[in-house]
Amino acid sequence: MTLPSDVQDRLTCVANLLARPDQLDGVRIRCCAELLRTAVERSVARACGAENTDQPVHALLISLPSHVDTDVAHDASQLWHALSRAIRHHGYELTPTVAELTGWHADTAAVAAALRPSLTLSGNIELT
Amino acid sequence: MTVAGEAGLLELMAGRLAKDELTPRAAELVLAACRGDEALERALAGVPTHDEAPRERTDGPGQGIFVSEIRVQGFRGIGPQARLPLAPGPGLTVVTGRNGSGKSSFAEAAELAMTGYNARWTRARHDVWRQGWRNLHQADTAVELELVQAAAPDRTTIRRQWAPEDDLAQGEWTQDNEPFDDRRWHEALETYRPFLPYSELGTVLDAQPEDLYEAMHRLLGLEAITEAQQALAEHRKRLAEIVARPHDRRERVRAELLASQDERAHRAAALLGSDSPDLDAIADLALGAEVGTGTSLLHQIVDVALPPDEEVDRVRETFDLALGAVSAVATANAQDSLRTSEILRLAIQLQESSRDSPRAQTCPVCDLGRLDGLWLAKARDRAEHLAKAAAELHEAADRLDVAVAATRAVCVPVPEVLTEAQDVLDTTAALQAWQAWEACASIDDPVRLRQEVFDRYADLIQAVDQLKSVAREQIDRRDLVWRPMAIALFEWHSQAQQALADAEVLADVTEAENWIRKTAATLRSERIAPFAKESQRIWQRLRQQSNVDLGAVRLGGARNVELDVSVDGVTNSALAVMSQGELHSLGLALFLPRAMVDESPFRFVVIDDPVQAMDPSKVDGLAQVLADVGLTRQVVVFTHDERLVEALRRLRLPATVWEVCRGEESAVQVRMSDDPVGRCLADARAMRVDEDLPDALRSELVASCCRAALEAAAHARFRRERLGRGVPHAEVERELECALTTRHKLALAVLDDLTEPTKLLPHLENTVGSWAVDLLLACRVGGESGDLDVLIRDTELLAGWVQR
Repeated sequence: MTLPSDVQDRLTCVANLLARPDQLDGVRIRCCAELLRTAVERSVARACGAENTDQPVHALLISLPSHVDTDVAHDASQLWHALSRAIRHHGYELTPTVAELTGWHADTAAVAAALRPSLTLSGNIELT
Repeated sequence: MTVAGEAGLLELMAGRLAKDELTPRAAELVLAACRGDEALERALAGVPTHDEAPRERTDGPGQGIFVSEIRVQGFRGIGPQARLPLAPGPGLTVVTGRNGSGKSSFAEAAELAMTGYNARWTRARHDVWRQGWRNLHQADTAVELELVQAAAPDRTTIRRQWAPEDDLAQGEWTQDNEPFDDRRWHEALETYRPFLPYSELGTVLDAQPEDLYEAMHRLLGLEAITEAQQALAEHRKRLAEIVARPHDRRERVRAELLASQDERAHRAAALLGSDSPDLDAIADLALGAEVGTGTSLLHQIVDVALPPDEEVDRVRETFDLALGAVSAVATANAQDSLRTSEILRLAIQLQESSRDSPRAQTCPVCDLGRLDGLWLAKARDRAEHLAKAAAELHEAADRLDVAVAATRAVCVPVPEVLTEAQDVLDTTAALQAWQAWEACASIDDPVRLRQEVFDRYADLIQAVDQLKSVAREQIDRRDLVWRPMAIALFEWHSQAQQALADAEVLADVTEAENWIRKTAATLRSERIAPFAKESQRIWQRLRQQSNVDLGAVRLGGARNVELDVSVDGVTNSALAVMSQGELHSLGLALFLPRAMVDESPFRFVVIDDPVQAMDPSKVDGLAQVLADVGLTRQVVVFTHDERLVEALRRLRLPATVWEVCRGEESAVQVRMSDDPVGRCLADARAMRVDEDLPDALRSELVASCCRAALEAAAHARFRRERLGRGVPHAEVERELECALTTRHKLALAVLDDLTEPTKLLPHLENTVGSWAVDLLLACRVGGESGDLDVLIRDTELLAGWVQR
């Protein structure tokens, strides 16, 4: 059971960057955060069945609990907001630390995985 | 803002003294007190003062001091050495960083390096707080502050270094590798306090009102007056004590004296009882000059004189001789022979007178014998013999009479003292003995007299001796009780004399002190006025929409700083009604004027996290205040809250912003922070050339950065316009939150309208050009970004246009 390639690519890329902490300057940290955020966005869009639409992520996150488990939806929403803050889309937030980033990487992998199996499971049920 | 220095104090005081009516001595004391302790001592001692310079102030740390760099190693959140470069000149520098990034470590390190003190670490009560000051990853700890001084070509480095086993209070403290002389700095640092750490901001007002008071006092140049006042007060207290002492002790001494049996004590008590005791009499009494009777009766008894033994012996001898002589001649025959001689003398006379008559020849006594010539001769012989014997007897009797008289003379009457002293002493025995002895005088019979008188004398001597020894004993006993009382009395007397002498001085000292206190109060209110005004001005800027108004700032009598605070125009002395953010603002309003005084050797101010608990509008005020201060001072502000930076940028206030990041192993980086648009663009360019990113992801990331840059530009423009129109912060932020996408935000900024994002593209097409529309399409999520360099360039252009 693998993650969709676009999500997996991002996770791999972030993992590669994180593997060389000495080169992790502010730019790369924000790169990683941005990549993780888009990974979450894509997973959420897929879980909502809203790929390739123009819907704002906020809207998708609000409708997410109707598609997946509430806890997973909550985690996804939290993570996305944290990552959004990290790449300072708002005026007064500051660069995240490497430790935070590592944590978010793990969280993103977990959330992406959690968002995926529910679909697989429903597919399996249909097949049987 | 400037305050009068202390050198002018003497002239100032002299000028004010001339206007007030003060006794010459009090005026002299005031000036002497201003000159210093020694001069005051001399003035009190009455030594004429000569004009001398007021005491010199010790050397300060220098003048015009700016910070050029803070270097920290192994302290709190900072591991390997990190440097925070600062432009050594006026200007505002903001150091931002997330919680735990190490920015506060810089602030605390700077304070520790210079003052050796930081509230968080040195005042900590619990070990947990005292132990965490070292960095976990770096055992060598050192903090350094590099300073630039006016008129000094070289930089000065103050360094504090701790070996791994050192305590925070220990460590090596150096200035340019010489031992650091913190006393030289201490006073200036206390007075002008260029550091305002986070932990103290909230407590400027409440925790140590005295500290603020002291500092304000020094600041206003009132310290010397206070010192003079204190010196006078000390002397006044000392003198008052001396003057009051005899008065206080009088009753005690008197009660002690009254409790005693001693006559002298009672007299002394009586003397003390008067309102103004006769000091000379008391001195006489204490020193033992005799007065009164009680003890002197005893002394009189001791002094009672008996006839001396030799005299009595002599009298006895004479008496015995006379008596012996009398008894030798005074036999029974002697009487007879006297009578016989008398008869014979008469017979001879008879015979001679009747010689011619014949009858005369017959003896008239016996009538038988014949009184003839023969008889006459014999009779004459016999009569002569007998007369001689009688004369001898007579003579002896005369001598006895003399001896008896002499003996009687020795029996002096009873001295009166024996009767008088009966109350004091049992004199009965002596009295009786003496009376008996005196009674001897009336014994007629010499023989009985001789028998009695000397026995009685012996008795008397014994009785009197006994009485005297009893009296002496009593005197000794009384003296034993009296002596300490006499000493106490004498001591009291000395004190009273001293008090009498000092009472005059006290009056002058009290007058001088009262005058100086009054003058100090006047000067205080006069001199604090500009400060109060400055504080009010700063508060006006900071308060923004607060309904709390700051009125007068006064130095109160109770060693605290009094603030007139009114809420909605209603005076309320309690600061309790103010919110935490308002308290912080007020604290800042009081702190800043003090740090900005011209006399301060420091041209820098370090403030740690002033933004805390302030609402957005106060942050705007703060940005303005800090930028104002930055015109003449080097202001270094540490904050985790980027609202301050945002406000500075929006209000277009000049400021340098450093960002602190903490990496692995506490490696702390400090880097210059651009405005958000610039940062986004810098990120985009960096990502554009990053070889490690896959192409697809790179385009996406660059596009995202471009979007962020445009959004930041839109935010800045929208905030500036709306806030500039007086719209409250909360409302502005709420509208911004509603705009979720880049286009929404741009529409808000450009069209000032959220509801019509569809009008944005045509508007851009018309006013900016089609490239802007292309740009927005290219950088949207999932869009085709095309040439990344063009994308970044166009983004920069459009962002510039939006922010115009």
